[in-house]
Amino acid sequence: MNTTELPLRPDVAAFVARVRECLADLSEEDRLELTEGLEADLTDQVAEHDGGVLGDPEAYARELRTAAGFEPVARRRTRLRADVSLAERVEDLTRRWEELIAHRRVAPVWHLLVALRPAWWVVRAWAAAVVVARLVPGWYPYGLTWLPGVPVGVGLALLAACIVGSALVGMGRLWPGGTSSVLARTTLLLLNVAAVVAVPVINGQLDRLSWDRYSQGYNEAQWGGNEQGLLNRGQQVCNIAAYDAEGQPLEGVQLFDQAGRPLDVRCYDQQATKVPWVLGDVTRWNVFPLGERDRPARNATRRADLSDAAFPTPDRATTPEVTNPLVPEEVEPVKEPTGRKGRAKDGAERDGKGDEKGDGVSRR
Amino acid sequence: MDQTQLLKGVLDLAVLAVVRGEDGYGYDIVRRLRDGGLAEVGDASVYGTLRRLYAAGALTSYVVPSESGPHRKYYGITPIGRDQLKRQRDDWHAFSTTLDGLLDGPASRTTSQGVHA
Repeated sequence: MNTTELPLRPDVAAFVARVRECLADLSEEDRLELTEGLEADLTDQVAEHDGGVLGDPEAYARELRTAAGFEPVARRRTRLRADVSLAERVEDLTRRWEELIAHRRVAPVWHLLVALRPAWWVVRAWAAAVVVARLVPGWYPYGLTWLPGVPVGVGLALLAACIVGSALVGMGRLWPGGTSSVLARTTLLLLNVAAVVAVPVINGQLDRLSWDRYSQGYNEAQWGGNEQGLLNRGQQVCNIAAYDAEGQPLEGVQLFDQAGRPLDVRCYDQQATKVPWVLGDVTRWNVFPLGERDRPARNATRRADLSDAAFPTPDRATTPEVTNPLVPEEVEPVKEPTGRKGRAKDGAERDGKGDEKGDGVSRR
Repeated sequence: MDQTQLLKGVLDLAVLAVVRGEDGYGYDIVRRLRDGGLAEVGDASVYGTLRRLYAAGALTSYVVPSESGPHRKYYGITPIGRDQLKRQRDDWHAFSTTLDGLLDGPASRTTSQGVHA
């Protein structure tokens, strides 16, 4: 048994210290088990070989770990151990972080991310603005799509204020930015994490909201009928009363749009309340006026009964004297005075006149 | 063949063999191994193996304090370690016999014993 005692050499001490660092992920017991007596052994060795036997401490630690049945290299995550102070741990993490972002492959990505920081400030400001908007009493169903809950003006102002605040914090001019106190850093971290979590949540809610609006609009459109038919000032046109240049009501006027499509009117319950014109066995809804019934006729038998049907007289319809430079002045003093209300069956005769004049109502 | 590769499987056995008769501290054991012919054995491998054998109960350990220098840690064999040594020695003999048979020539292959792990 060799019990010669040698003083500890500083190079051995440093070597062992470095080896211990490489075992930092092991439990204190394991580490002690592996390195207790290592100084003495190495000191012996160095004394015997007159120095030069201490190699690379990391390779040494790797060999030691492998032989002892541990993983050759410490895992990334160091286990939390009681003997390492919080400050040391933070320092260690900081050092690792700096090593990571200085890495050849990571560095360009990191630089890009740093350059994109202002974009993040805007995003988190938006998240904050939405949160504030939700807190506004009296939820407002319509607003900006991406900032619901408040009127547009308020929303924009709110967003602007949040962006300014977020940017000031980001630039370190406003608490909790700019200081390195634990409270401020923690607050900032929590706020950022909250924003990261909030963005997808908000996004999901906005999606749902816009879907709600869409389906609401869709339902409203459905309620109004499958097809809009003809609109006048936003209201559906159910019938048309046409007058000629003399102010006489016309019957059998056929209307077409600029593309030659029949100007069909469509209204709720049209089949039952209106009497269409007929071309052979095809009903035509672009010939005016349409006869109107007092009571809806909802089956074929009742529709055949035209006793309660008549052409309508629109209320308050006036036909002022209008001129058009395209229409030559025509002297036609003698005009059979027909009463405006006299809806006689002389439509064909009037049609003829209307055709000659070619004014007002377009005809084919 | 590289001795370190061969040693991987049998270092436990070699370490147990050199502490069988007398307790020893880390470097002492390394020296015994090297003196015994394992010139290339790495000291870290030996220290790691000592720790693993200790954790398995095959070795016991105690620290001898020193006044002027670092403490020394001694290892001694336990009954578990002796059992392990015996078992592994038998395995080794069977294995080496098999391998010798293979190396001696194809004729001996039919008569050689299989390895019983």
